[in-house]
Amino acid sequence: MDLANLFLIFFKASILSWGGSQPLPILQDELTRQRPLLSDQDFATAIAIGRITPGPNGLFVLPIGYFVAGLAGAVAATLAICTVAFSSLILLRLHARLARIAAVAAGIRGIQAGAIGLTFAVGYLILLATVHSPLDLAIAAAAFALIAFTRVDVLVVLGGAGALGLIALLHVG
Amino acid sequence: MDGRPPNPLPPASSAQPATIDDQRSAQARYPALSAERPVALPALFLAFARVGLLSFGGGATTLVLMQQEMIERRRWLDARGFAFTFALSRMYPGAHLLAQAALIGHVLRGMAGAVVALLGLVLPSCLITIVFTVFFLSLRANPLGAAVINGILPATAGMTIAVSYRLARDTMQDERGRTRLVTLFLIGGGFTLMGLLEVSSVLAVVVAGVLGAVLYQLAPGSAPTPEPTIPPTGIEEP
Repeated sequence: MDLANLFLIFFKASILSWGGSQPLPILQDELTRQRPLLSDQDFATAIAIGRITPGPNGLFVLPIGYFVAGLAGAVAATLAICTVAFSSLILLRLHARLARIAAVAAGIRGIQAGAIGLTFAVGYLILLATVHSPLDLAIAAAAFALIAFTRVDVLVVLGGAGALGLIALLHVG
Repeated sequence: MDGRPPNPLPPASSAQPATIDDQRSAQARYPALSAERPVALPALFLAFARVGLLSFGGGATTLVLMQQEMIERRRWLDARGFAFTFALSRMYPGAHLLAQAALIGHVLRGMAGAVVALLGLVLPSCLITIVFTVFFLSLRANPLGAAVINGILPATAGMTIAVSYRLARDTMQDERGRTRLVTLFLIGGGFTLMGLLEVSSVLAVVVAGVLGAVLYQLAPGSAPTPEPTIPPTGIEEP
């Protein structure tokens, strides 16, 4: 895959989504299902890295780009989301007119709602790809409950899950 | 030119036209803009770099840090100026926090400011993320490291579903009646199209936009959500 195409995939994923984490479904669709560029494991790993490292939402595109095409891929991915962000400056001219069109506002709202459904789908697809044992399922369920209903830090959840993975290996081995 | 944009002083709520008072008090409300000395570009870079590097745990943190940095620590923007860039960034696709950084940069220092603010937010965090990615790959080559990652991956699935759940809950919180049903229908539809039917996600986004434009306007008493004017309410991700 050449870099220009990779840039375009990230650009498309970003410009068609609302919010930092919303390009996930499109990226998963384009990179793991339509083209065999990335395994589901790599995809999930990239999400985990994006959650661990500091920075604004959406920087998980970096490890995704890196897994597909190394450092150049990471740069292409970052440039793509920055280009989309930069193009928002056009709103400084257009916003007053756009905000008055009811259909535009309703359409944006529709995309936001639909996109939530798509992120549910991403979680579901990662679940199918990464859960192979009752322990895996328990880890996924515990992570869901902790993040959905408590204020436990992401790092604690991921650290605990990693420790359980290690214990499972030592226990079996 | 001093590098400032031609019209950096729009009303805080784009839904309402500016009143004469708004215009008159603009200078008072945006002290940084009326200052003799414009915000220095290196200072702008450092301010956003700080926000990026301290942003652990996602969007809500970044938003809070950005607000503190711009309004309280540096006093470059007041609450209304910040809310204006916040509202604009939410009207546009893509990563909202990156867009807001570019918008703030533009309000403060024109095009150069937009570039510098965006780079400041992204560059340092990107470098750390790259280092971490390489570290992760070497971790995976080790059997113990691989076991750790095998534990982490199902947790990623659970967390992604949890984030979706919170987004859905927050979105539907203030909705009632048929509006709520429309949202629920679109969320369920998005999940079904991509998760179960394996339809292209791009198509699913377009379908959701068109259906939303029709259904939300048909639902009674559901004026489209006005853009938020007070920053830390509509927080994007937990």
